[in-house]
Amino acid sequence: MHPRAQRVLGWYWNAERLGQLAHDDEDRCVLLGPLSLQQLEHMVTLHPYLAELRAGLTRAEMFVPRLQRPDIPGEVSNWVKEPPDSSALAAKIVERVKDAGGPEIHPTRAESQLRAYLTRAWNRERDRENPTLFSKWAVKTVNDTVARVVADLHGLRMDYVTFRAAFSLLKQLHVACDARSLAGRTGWTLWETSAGVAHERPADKTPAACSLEGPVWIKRRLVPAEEGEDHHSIPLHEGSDGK
Amino acid sequence: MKEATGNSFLFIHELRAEVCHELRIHAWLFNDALRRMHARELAHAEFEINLDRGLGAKLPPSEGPFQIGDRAFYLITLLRRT
Repeated sequence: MHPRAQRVLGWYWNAERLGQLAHDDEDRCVLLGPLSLQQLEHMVTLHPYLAELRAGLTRAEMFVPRLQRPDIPGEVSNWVKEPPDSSALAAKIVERVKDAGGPEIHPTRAESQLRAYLTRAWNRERDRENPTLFSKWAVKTVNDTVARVVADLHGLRMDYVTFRAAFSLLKQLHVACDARSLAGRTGWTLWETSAGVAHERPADKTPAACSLEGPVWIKRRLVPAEEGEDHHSIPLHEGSDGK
Repeated sequence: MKEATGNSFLFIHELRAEVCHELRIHAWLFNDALRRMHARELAHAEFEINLDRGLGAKLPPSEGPFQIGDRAFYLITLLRRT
């Protein structure tokens, strides 16, 4: 990680820990401490994981299918010996992402990544005596791995913990949002909630100086105005009574 | 939009997810969307919003009401349009 990004990230965590971030009357994130919005934007610009995740969400929303116990092939007695069948798991992921309107994923690619990550997780030392505990661990590990594979397919090379932490920061910055209860989907949907492009950096300024001195460039998407907006792509539209 | 219990309404977290996802907005702006639905500036093709001021006493203290000005609403439902 870039040292400057690391420092800003540290500021953010400190601010959060000290309760310097709060929400105003309109639920916007406001800063009560020494941090400025530019500094937070600076983080999005410079932190490679945040920048990549934001770019990925700008290209398309992400859907991470959630697999439940019956979705995972095999029984606990088999899982103790080896990871679940990655081919069958990959087929489920491909199908569910497609059903959610996501990109076409090549099953072979998903399977190869799943197999590699699951094998690595299964090779770790783990208590396998208690079938109930092991079953819970297996389901969680498979789902963490699915998130990692989906992130990878969107061009984001980060493990689940990093992915979750990066997304959490973007959500706090009002750059992205998520839901796990969308109709017809069992899984985690993530989308971008802001627009804007970082200003071009003059050659004589460092990225940090450019970000901290420049105007705010992240534009948060608001609820559409009642007139003059194109509502064709969304089910919510202007009231029929013309108000 | 899926119906939570079979015929005519959605749970609030489902409504929040659907509205914010469709409008590509942050969940922090959901109250604004809800106010506009109540004011009929935004409408759904199948459902109509219904706010109920009763039942507040039965909610746990952690559950704050949905406020429009000074008015507090404790139950939000979507009724199917006829």
